[in-house]
Amino acid sequence: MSNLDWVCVPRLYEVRKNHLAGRATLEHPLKQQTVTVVDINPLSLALEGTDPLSQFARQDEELNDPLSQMVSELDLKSKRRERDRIEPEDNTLQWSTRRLGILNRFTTNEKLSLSTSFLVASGSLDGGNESIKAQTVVADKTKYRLEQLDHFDDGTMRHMMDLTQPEYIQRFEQLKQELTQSWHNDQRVKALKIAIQCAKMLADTTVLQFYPSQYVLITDILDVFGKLVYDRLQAKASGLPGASAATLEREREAARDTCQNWFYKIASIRELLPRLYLELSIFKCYEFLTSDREEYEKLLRRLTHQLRGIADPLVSTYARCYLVRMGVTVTPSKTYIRENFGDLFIVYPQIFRFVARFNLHPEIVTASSYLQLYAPAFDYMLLCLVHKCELHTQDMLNECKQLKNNGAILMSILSSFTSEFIATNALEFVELINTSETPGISKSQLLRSLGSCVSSCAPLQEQRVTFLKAAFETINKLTDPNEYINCVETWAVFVSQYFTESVRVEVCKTILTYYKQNSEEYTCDAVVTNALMYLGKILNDSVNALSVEDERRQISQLINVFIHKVHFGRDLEQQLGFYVEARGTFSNLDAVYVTLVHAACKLATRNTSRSTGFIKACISYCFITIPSISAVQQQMDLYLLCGQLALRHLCLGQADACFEAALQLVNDLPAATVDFEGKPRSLERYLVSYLCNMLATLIVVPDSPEQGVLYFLRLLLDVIGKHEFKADSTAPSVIYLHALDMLYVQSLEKYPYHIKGVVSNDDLYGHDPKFLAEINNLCVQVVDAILLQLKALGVAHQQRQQAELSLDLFLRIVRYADLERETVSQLALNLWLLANKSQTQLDTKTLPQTLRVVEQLYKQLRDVAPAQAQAIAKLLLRMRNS
Amino acid sequence: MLLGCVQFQCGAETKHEGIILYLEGVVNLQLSSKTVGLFDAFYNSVKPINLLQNNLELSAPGKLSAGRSDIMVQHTEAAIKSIDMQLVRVETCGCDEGYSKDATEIQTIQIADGNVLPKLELPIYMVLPRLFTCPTLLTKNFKIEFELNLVVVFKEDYTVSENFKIVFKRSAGPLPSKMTTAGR
Repeated sequence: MSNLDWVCVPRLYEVRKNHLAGRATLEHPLKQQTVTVVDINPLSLALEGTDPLSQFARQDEELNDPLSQMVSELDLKSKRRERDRIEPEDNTLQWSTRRLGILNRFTTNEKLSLSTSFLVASGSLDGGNESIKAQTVVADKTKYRLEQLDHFDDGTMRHMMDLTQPEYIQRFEQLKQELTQSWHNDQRVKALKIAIQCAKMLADTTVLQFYPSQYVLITDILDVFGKLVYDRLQAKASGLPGASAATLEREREAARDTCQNWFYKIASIRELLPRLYLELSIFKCYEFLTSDREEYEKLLRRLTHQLRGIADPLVSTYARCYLVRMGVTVTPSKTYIRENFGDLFIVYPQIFRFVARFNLHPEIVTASSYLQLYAPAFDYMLLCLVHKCELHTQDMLNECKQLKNNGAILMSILSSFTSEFIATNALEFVELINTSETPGISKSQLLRSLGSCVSSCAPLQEQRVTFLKAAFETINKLTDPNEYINCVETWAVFVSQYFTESVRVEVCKTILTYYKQNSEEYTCDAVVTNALMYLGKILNDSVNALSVEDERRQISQLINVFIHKVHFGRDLEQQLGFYVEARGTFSNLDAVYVTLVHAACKLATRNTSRSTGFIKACISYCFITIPSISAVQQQMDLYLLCGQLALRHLCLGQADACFEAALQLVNDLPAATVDFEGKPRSLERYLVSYLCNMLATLIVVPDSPEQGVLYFLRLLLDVIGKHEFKADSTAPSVIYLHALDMLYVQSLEKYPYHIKGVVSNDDLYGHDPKFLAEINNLCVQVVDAILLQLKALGVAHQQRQQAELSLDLFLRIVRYADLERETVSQLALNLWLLANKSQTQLDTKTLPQTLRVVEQLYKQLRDVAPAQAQAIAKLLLRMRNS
Repeated sequence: MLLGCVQFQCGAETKHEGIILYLEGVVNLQLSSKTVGLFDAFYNSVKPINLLQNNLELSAPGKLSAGRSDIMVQHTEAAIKSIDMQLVRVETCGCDEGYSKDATEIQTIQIADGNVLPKLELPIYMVLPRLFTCPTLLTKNFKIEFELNLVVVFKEDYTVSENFKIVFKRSAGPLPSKMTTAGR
């Protein structure tokens, strides 16, 4: 019937829109869905707005985030474990490897003060001195001048106040130089005095949180002093080369005397703390006085006992740490170290009296950070105690059990003892942690540490399940999600390494379920994200061709929740980076990919920059991701969504690519899919609605200069023509009818809707007759296709469907086509007659209603387009006559 | 002349039934390869001969007071600021008509800094300054004696001190001679 003379008529009547009544609300009416539907609901994505206020609050939290602190600790620890393996054992106890870690970890913004008489020369440099000068009255001025004349006298102590941390560090650097310089200028007493003054400052705990760093800085100077003394004595004792034996003996004797003098000098220091530090700093020099190892041991024990006189637990702990530091360089014995711990355990409750005080005054320092101050000293001393010696391990563990508030020491045991020991006693440890109630040390901290220990060395095979259960008994009681995830992170490694897949998967699921239920907030914490990513990967990898669909769904859902929770605020690039990482990680799960595409689409809409670069990146991400999804239906949906998004953001090339890809997939769409109850469900209805959506979108898609006129519509018709529908299906005719609708809209001078910025075909062609001719041609093709359908329905004796379809087409012809053309008018009449034939099959109101519609159209056009109205009237006449 | 010093180490007070020093001198015949045949006849019949036997009572039955080398804070209500040891030299000279006594502080060192825990043994340890100390010297006209003041400084600088007489004796050792023991 290609002789049909179809010409689209302009729309001369108004199309009225019946708007729904709107109502303001605070609750999104679809919100409920976001909780339950995570898979593929595009609406859920639209609901995840980011509140800028809570974002700020989060940023504030991040500033003093204890987690990031833990990360650095963990790094330190894992680095150390690594080093234990790689480097020769002898370096393990070296202090130098730790000092930088301490300096970086313990910092302060508070003002520090320093007292010395040796930094006057550099007075012009520092603000502290300036302020003293400014405040001096006349009497003081005289004193100040006198001080300058004789500034190395003990009486002229300068108190430098209000020093910032870098200034403070710089002062100590100056003191160190001053000390070395004095020594080389033969001013040994001055060097000693500098060292004593420095050691005195170790009694100052005004800025608590800086104390470990203060200790590092000051003991650095003491180390320098100790080395200078030792090297000089060494040089003296070895004499000049080629000296006779007698001379050499004399030299050695002289060195011995000098050495003894040093010790005499130091022994007369009035204050206890500097006296002990100074003796320790030159402890190595005892080798000039005795070669008896036992003698060293005795000396160390004597010093250990003397340290009991230092009342402040923090100061005395670090002094003990220094003692051990010096001790390990001269004797492999561990007895004196053990004795130090014996004394420490006596003083230990004292620490918690401070903790109780800081619990009431957290503005000074929090209980937890106060306990952290002890960690470097405890860790080091414990490491020295158990290094290459297992004599005291068990006994320390027992002692720790008896101790009240044992968390702090337990923490250090976990980080210093060998993984093998911890693995052997794993059950004991987990029990100990479960019962440990130490203020300032949370169980999650301890469990996290234990988790990382057993990850590098697992307990006995037969204990593992009991062990894991015991640990999770406590882990599951943690209420803070971040704390939970931080703790669980290390355990995930353990589980994944040492358990069968089913246990592993179960554990991962439990953790993610916990996270899903207990965390409401978004997260951008790298530790949390990495931990969850790791768990998700285990789950993803557990899925294979044999997995049950339900399992797959469960896992996908858990991972989807996680993906939704990761939120980097305004850092969109990082967010997209995360999606890229997630795509690489969760390659087995379609539903996760769907979520990722939706998330990327949503991300594109959050772009605020003028350039389309980021949006293009998001769409490219989607375009690459979609083909990996196995369900054709989902692919089609997502292509359409992305195409629409691209169009919306004026990325025309990408939009075209998406639409093309979507249409090419139509013929891969299976005829039916299996629903949740296992029944097959035909996809034809889906296809119809999908293509309607597509057609509605295509209205505004401008033709690409590379393709012909209405390329996508042609492609759609082509695809439908080839598609195998069910026999007697009305689906193709419905699609054709809508294609006709779309074509008619294309013929209008102004389309009913546009996308801002997109030049649609109406403006592109400017109602060009050639374009209209193309449309009319296509209309004829479509009508032909529908007529073929009608014929087929007739053959199949589907009278009712045939009648309905003919009425549908009839109405469109009446509205869209020029009825003055005889072929068109005749076709309309024939359709009307065909419908009338099956009148009995139709609803009784259908035919009269159709007639009324035509009459109404006549009335609408009577005045504006008399010629058209005339044609309609003619048709009406013929209809009534028939 | 045989000189010596007996030292007891006991942390607590100890009872004793008297301290007696025994001296025994015994001579014994021994053969060498050079005298084979000469003394053979004696050899089996000569017993060790006791040349000297003496005893000396050092102390009658009684108690040895505890010779502690550490101190312990039992209980304190006021916070301790510092515990110091002050070594004092007391020089006395003169004759029956009159004595002049002169006390000099030689050295003060701190043995506890801050409010130390009670029941913790704090060692008393001081290296004696060589230039200012000597063995305790007691003559008719001239005496050099030593004393130790144990000074406890409480918060707000409230001070309590106790004086101990001490005796110095010389001994030789590989390490600096160092110990002084204060009894309580």
